[in-house]
Amino acid sequence: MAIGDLYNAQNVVTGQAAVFVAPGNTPLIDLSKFNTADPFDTTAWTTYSMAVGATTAVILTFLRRGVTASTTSLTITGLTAAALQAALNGLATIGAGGVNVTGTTTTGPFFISFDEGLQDGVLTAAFTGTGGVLSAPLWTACGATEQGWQLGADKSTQSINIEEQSTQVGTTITSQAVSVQGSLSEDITRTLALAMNATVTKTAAVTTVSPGYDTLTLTDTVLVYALGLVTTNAEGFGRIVYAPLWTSLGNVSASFRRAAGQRLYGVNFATICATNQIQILNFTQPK
Amino acid sequence: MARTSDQPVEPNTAGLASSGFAEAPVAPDEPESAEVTLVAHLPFYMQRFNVPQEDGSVLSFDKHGTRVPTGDADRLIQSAADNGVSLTREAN
Repeated sequence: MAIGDLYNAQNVVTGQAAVFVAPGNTPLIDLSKFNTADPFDTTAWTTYSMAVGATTAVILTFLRRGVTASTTSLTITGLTAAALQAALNGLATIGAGGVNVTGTTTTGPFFISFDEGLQDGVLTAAFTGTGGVLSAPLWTACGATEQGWQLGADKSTQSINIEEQSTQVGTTITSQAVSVQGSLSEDITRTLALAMNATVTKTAAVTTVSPGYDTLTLTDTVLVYALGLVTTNAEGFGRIVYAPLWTSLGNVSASFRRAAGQRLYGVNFATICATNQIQILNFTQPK
Repeated sequence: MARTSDQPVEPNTAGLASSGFAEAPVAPDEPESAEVTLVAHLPFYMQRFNVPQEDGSVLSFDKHGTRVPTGDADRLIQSAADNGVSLTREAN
């Protein structure tokens, strides 16, 4: 037997991770939608669903980087996923090939997912009639980081010793802290809200009177999130770390420099759920 | 064997005139509701969406819904869309 038989160099993996956040207690994504060929495919995490209810028409608007574009009024009766996709692809803020739509009006809602490059946009709907609902994706990517993400699991243990034996007879876990840490690099409202434990109120602009703005209010109420960390694995099919309840109460120290570096907002997500709710899914086979 | 009568059978309408049945009144058309409830669908980190009005007041929307005049609904929904917020009409 050679030493080379005792290890598999292919299991040594480098690579980044992406973190998605949702309101606390949001369940894990539907795993049937997870793309094992591309674990960073956001379709499974950031798909809109549009229920038409008793509506007769809908106008869809896509806002991205301060620019909006709207479809014409689309008649619900007979609307197909292909027609809806064509209408959205025709928007200047989306472009050809920027969106994928599935579903029908007769059997269920439409599912709308955007290209990765359009994830910073927002889709809204104006329905004619009642019962129409455009459900925004539950999950949102945290965005760019300075040096990626760190997954940690710190344990405090208690040794159990007896006089009659030199080595300990047992060990208990007195406390355990599972955390995901990173320095967010996108200087936007969402980043500030996560880093500062702040609530957000958006105020619309009043034409020629006052500008629009977001108000972030720090709160002593601990805000909770669900979190999913996605990365590749040795098998090549991806891995998800998920827990339903995390807090983000890390210390923040952001420097505002002319040219020495970008603004960074440190976040430290820590679980507050039972250990058996913390799951690590290592995908080993594709569909 | 009973003898079948040759006389035509007259329908017995004697009771109908005094039966008390009257033509059911037609309910007048329901007037369109003066207000409609708009519900905001906000990103996970956002709790409220405010729309300042010309008279200085502020309409505030969250996931619980806010009643607004029906005639203002379309304008408010478009204003929300311009800000990346989805407002939907809730069925009454």
